[in-house]
Amino acid sequence: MTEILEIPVISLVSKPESESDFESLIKGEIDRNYEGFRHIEKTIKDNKSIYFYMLGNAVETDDYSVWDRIIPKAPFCLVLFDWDHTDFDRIITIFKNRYQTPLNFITFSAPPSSQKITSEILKQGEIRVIFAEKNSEEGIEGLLAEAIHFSYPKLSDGN
Amino acid sequence: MKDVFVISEKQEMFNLFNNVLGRLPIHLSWAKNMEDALDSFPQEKPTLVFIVNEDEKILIDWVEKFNTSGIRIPFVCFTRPLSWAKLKMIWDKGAIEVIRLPMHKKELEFVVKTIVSERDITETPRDKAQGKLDDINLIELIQYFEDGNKNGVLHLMNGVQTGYIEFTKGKICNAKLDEREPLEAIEVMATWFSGQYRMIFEGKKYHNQIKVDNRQIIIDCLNHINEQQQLLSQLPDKNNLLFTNPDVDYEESAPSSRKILLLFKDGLTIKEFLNKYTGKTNPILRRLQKWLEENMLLTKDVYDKKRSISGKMEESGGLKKIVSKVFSKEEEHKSLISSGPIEETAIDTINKRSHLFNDLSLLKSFLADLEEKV
Repeated sequence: MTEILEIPVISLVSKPESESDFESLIKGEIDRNYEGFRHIEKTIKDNKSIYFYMLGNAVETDDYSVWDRIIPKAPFCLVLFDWDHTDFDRIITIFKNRYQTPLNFITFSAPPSSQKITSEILKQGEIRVIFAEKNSEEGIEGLLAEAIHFSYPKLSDGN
Repeated sequence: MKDVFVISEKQEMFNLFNNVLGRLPIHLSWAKNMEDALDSFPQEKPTLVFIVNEDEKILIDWVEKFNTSGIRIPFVCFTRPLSWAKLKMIWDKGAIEVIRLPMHKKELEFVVKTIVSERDITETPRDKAQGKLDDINLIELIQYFEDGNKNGVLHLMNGVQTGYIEFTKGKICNAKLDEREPLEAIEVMATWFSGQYRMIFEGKKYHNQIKVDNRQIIIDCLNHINEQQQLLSQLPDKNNLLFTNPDVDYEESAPSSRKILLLFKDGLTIKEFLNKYTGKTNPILRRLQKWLEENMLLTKDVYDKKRSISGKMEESGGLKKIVSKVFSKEEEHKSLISSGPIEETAIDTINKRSHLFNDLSLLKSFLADLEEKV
């Protein structure tokens, strides 16, 4: 029986290459397009796969049906972001008011000067950010391991 | 040699066509009614059919029998002068042209030669057929292409929307509807039960953009249709007018919601709305359902009642302030429900979705594998 880990991904990027960099980091074997999300499948071992759900922007469409089905059941949700995304705060606020699922923030760029950061949440520097590297040797595995440690610190202690 | 089949109660009409088309490389056959003609088609294999009858009722009956027989051969109708609506009806049933009778022999000769030569000169396998989606749905059209192993393009029109599907040897290769992905485009077009279709068969092959086979596409379409039917059954009749609640503050609504709510401002049926709306249909139907539950959209009787109450309120002088104070509380509540995302969050906070993931052993085992790979 194949074990599956399901990871929803919300994209708050202003540069399209951020998304393509992320997808090339995943190196998924199967990529399917559905109404409201994309499903990218990555095999970790013969009997272990990770399903990435690249979610559409439910806040913009005002249709949370897909988010509501996927996000509560996931161990955590990844937020792929660019520092100058103009709607970052609004979407994160809505997410936090709607879900209790932990969030992990991933970006491919170093933080610019605070004047160039449009988000108050990011300016305050209170959220932990995972910095991803394009074509990193660690690939998506390193990022996911870091995200699991962030969201479930007790697992790292062996509990 | 082109084979043209004439269906006419009178043999004189067949003789007339024989005279008119005598000099062209055409072989003519004749049957006095549609039943006889349908029996003869398998042997004669005509490439063009002339359906001739001055009685419009018999003519339409013949055309319907021809269409329901499943035989797809281009056909031309000849009948007495008809109203525009009747002409359109016959065109919608797939006729290439409707020629009025009686007609001067020379004129008839010219018209018939034009039709025949148009189809003869282009000796390529190009062919076409058209009709109404009210009579045949997309699934049947896909099966028609598949059964005949046909190459070609199926054009579909519904309200302001137009899209197409390309086939090579009956297999769906590509589809286009606005900016949608090909598979999603097909799913949306499969829910069009009114509008027009036009099939153009061509010899060329199309580039294959769709890996999924026709059977899977049809299953997906049927699921999509079922879901839409279910959603529509939960909404008011699609021919009933719906109105946006006059209390809705458009400026506070999210841009995509505002755009749709404005469409319903002066009343719109769901049928009219779906003809205008170019986005994904099932999510928007769910959203209409939600708005109806939240009284952001109102049926006509509720809307009229609300308007008359508002009118009376405006007219009532002394009581106005008191009444408006009472109603302001109601509006305050409604604006909380109906307005933009920031207000929405206040309600969502109450209904926060619990985090349901609890399989830590699974996570631990994945963590070990991930770290091993790193």
